[in-house]
Amino acid sequence: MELKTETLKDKILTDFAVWQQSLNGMSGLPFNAKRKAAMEQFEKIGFPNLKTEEWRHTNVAPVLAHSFKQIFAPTKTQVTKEVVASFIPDGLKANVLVFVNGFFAGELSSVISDTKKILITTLAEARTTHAELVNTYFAKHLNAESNSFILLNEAFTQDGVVLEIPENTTLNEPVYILNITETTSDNILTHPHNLIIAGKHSTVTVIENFHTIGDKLSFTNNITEIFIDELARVDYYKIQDQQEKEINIGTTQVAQQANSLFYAFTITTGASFTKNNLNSQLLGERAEAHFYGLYISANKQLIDNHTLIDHAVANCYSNEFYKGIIGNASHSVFNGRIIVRKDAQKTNAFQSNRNILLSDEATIFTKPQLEIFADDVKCTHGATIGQLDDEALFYLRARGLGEETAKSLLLKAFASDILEKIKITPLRHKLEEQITGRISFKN
Amino acid sequence: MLIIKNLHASVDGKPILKGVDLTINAGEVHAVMGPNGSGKSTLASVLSGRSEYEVTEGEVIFDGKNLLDMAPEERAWAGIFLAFQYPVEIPGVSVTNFLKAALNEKRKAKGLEPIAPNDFLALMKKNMALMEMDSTMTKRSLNEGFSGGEKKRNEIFQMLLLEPILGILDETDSGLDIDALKVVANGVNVMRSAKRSFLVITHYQRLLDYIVPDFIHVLSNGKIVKSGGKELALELEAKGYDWLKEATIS
Repeated sequence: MELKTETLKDKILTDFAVWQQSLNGMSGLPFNAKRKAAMEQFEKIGFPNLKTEEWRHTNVAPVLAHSFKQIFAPTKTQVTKEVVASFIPDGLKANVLVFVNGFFAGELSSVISDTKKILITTLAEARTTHAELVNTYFAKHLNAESNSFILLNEAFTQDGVVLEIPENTTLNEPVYILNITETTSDNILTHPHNLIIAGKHSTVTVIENFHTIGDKLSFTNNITEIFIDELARVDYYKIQDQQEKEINIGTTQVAQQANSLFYAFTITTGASFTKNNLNSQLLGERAEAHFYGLYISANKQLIDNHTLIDHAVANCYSNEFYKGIIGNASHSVFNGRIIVRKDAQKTNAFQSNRNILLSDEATIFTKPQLEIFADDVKCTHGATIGQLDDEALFYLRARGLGEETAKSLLLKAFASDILEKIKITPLRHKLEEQITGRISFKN
Repeated sequence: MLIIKNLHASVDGKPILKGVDLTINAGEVHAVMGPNGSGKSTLASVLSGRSEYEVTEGEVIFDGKNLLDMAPEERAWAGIFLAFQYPVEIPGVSVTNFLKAALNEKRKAKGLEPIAPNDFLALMKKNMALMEMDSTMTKRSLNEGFSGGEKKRNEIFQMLLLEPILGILDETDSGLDIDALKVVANGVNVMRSAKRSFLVITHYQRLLDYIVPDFIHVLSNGKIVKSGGKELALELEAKGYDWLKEATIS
């Protein structure tokens, strides 16, 4: 295994060198200097293993044992508008931005909102048209040094969404970022990178969704950076609901100013291997972060949610609620870290993680990790691991519900605490349907 | 309709029922009374198919079929309804959705189409009025935060909708005030017919003032020690159970 891990690392180093040579004159640009620095650091630290703190319960070695191809220029795609439409919830009016193998696909995308006042473009484009903006925000709060996957994203990222909502502006329709990987002939590795900048007193909703077309593996190593200025509100959804050919390691990094509001929904039901890192820094007073998460793993899936809420200043509020259903021989991890810094007096931080294990082979590792350096704070946390309630199951069966139906009704009810918080009705309906499917599939 | 022969049942290896014989014909209401720990609730549990109870001897024939071979849901489809002594709280499942699912599964088992939404609503409305239930109750999660009286009314409400041929009431009177008791009894009495039978399990005679049984049986130490007409309840109320316990020992 060790030898194979080195192989992927070597391949990545070679890919980078070959690509850099092909850049010629472009390689001296400031953006490219960042790429080189990231690659040098990656060369030093390599991939994580079970001894790496953040990866102690998630074995990434099986992922690294595969070989992946990277693509450095857009190629012709087989994906059609019909295929794109099939991935979007029925009845959802949204600005759909489609990326295929890491590159923007304009012909498949559609912007419906009035965009006179807002900036909605791609990273590839913005690097030349809005170089200063990209320089200001790109990787601003990312803690890359010790994180191999963030480094790889910084080194290789080709494209993503750049969205800037100016002061006092509300974007009524959500921005739906659809990452499609075509793996017809090769395993494909991509590194999407999005920048979401919400100006003072602005409002925007962003949905990220991932799909794979083809029989080979797709590995999405994505980063989304979200900057929320004073009094602004961002609702963010990360939906991983596709088949089990996807590997997804991603970081969503949020920076919140005073009186800002952030709602995150991380829903993971698909993919063979998922690591969701969701971090928010509360940098201005009275900022609020709400993290909701639902993960349903079956077969041999692995789903890891690592969250971090960093209370840097006083009077902020955070509320975190994650639920998991773990079936068959799957494995899930929840690690909820909350830092309350010395100056963050009057912090209110709540965390809850509830799990249902459906089989003897299923495993869950859950860990609240509170680091509190202030003395006048209110922090509560709780984690539970249980099974389906036998009494409830008998009650339903005694009323004529078959065992499978009764189980799936109880599991749906368990998941409903999270799903009912989703205010975008077409999205909620689609997820409810899919989750019902996942759950019955498991029984 | 229901024939129980020499029924023995244990929990965790401890015998609770020690040879119960009981026959209930169509249209009859039988009450089973007895002191705490006599096996009353075990009898209800065994008949409804609770898995912790192991039947060690005897048989139960329901509507010509071997009841003990059937899963709890199959018993429900065949027409058995157990009104629970302690209805379970199930957060996230609304009364309406649950009942629609239960009713349609029963219809499916009989080869019928799912009930039309309008018919279902009409059925709900009629029976809610009968059980004096608030219209918000059916939108709430099943039994969650219900008072004792609301839980028991909800049980009978479900029975009205599911129209069993044998209703088993397990201490339905426990925790009820007199007004709720009357509503619950009325729900049962409305359902009494020549084709439908009831097994009413109770510790107190009080319920039997409102649901008047055709027969009363006294269960003591896992066996029926005395059977009689409705007047037996009054005798039990006056004399308690002790004289019967002694009678079995001697």
